[in-house]
Amino acid sequence: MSARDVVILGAGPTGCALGAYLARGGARVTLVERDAEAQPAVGESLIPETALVLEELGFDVSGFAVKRGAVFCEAGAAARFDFSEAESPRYTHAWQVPREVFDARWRELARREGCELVHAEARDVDLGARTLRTSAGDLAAGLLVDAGGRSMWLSRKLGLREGDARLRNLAVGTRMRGVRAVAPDEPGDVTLCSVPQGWIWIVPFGGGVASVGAVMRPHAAPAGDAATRLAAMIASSPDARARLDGAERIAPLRGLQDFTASSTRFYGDGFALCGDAACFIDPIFSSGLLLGLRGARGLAAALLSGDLAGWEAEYRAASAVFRRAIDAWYDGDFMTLALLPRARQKGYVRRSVVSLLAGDIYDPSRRSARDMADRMGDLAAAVRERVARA
Amino acid sequence: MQELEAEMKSLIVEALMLDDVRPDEIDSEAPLFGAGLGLDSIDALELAMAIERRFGVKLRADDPATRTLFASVRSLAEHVRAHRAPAT
Repeated sequence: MSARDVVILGAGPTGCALGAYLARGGARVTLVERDAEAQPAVGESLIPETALVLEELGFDVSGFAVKRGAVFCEAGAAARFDFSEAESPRYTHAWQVPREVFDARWRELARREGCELVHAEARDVDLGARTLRTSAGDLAAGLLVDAGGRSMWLSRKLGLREGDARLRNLAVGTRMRGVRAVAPDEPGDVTLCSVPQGWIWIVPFGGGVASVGAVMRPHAAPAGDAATRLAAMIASSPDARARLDGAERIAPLRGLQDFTASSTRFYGDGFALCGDAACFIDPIFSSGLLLGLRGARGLAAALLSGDLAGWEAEYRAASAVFRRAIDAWYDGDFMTLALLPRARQKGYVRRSVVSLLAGDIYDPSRRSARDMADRMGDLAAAVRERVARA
Repeated sequence: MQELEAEMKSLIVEALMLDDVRPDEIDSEAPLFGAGLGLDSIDALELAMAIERRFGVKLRADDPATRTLFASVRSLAEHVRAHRAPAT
C-alpha cells in the first residue's frame, strides 16, 4: 500500500490543475517537477473558455493583462475579433500570462489544495510495479500521469508517440520590450501576423513587454541561427514591423521543432497522459493551455467515474477541432474569411469564428465553433468564388 | 405544410442572422437567391447545415441539383417534408 494514490509528472498548469481537482476529490497526490523554479515557456496566451477551470479552482488572475480579442494581419490588412462577438459567450475575455509567473501560481494553488511537490527528474518507469524511478528515489502510486509537457516522456517511453508528417514546423520565441499596439489592436489583444513563410505572434503583457515569436514552414524557413530567423520573419511582415520596430529582446531565444505530435493512446494500465504530454498541436489558435486544463478537469472526473475512454474521446475531439482549424489556417482559408471587409462579412460566420477563437468547443449543445472548424474550407472556397465572379 | 414553411422562414432568419427581416414577411414562393431574399452561396452552406440540424435532412449545397431546392421557401419545405425522418 503506497502513501499516495497518484503521481503526476510535471508541475505545470496541467499537472497542477489535475492535482488540485484530484485532491479535492480526496486523492493523495504527488507532483514531480524537475525545475526548482517555474520557467518561462512558449504558450503564454489564454483563450476565454480556459476561464472555467481558473474559476472552479479559484486561480488568482490578478496582475495579468486582460485579453479581450485577437488581431490577425497580413500585408498591411488587419481584422480584429472581440470575444464578446462569440455565440452567447460565457466568458468574454482571457489573460496574457508570463509563464514563470502563471506556473508559479499553479504550484502554489496545488500545494494549497494539498498536493505534495517533489523536485526530482524522472529516470524510468515500472508500470507493473506502479513505480516511477526518479533522481530523488522511487515513487509508488496506483496511477502515474505524465503532464510534463511537450517532451512526451512517458509517451515515448511506452512507444505511443507519433509525429504529424503534415506539420513539421519550426518555431522560435523570445520576449521583447518597447512593443507597440497599432490599430486595430486594443490593449491586451494578441496579434498574429501571417506571412508566406509562416506567422508571427505578439502577446502583450503590459508596459510594452510582449512575448514575440515566429512559426516557420519547414520548406520556407529563413536560413541562419534562431536570432537571424526571427529577425528575417519579422522583417518580412509589415504588420510585425509596425509593432516591433525599435523593440529590443530581453530574454534568450527558445526554439521548438517538429512540435505537432500525438499519442496512440492517452491512458492504459496504471498510467494516463494529459496536456502536451498526450498531444500537442500548432499554437496558432492558442489552444494548448485550453486542451491541457480542460483535459485535466475531464481526467479528474473520469478517474472518479471510471469512464477514461469517454475522456480520451472528448480530448481527441477537442484537439481535432483545432487541428482542422489549423489546416484551414495553413491553407489560407482562415485569413480569406478574416480579412473580408466587415460589410461583406456574414454575421453568422464572424460569430462562429469568434466562438472558435474563444475555444467554445466542449459543450455539445453549442455547435458554432466546431461547425466553423469543419466548414472553414468550404466557406473560404465560396468566398473566393464570389470574389472571382465579382 | 404551412406550419413547416413558417418554421423554415424562422430558421432562415435565425440561422442567417437576418436582423432586418421578419419571418412572416418572407414570401413562400419568392426566390431565396439574388433578387428575392438576396441570399448567396455562402448563405446556402449555412442554411443547408441549419436544415440538417433542425430536420435531419442532408442537403449538399454544392450539388447543382440542390440549386433548385433552394429556389424558394416552398421548395425547401417540400423537400424536407418528403425526406425527413418520420416523427416518432
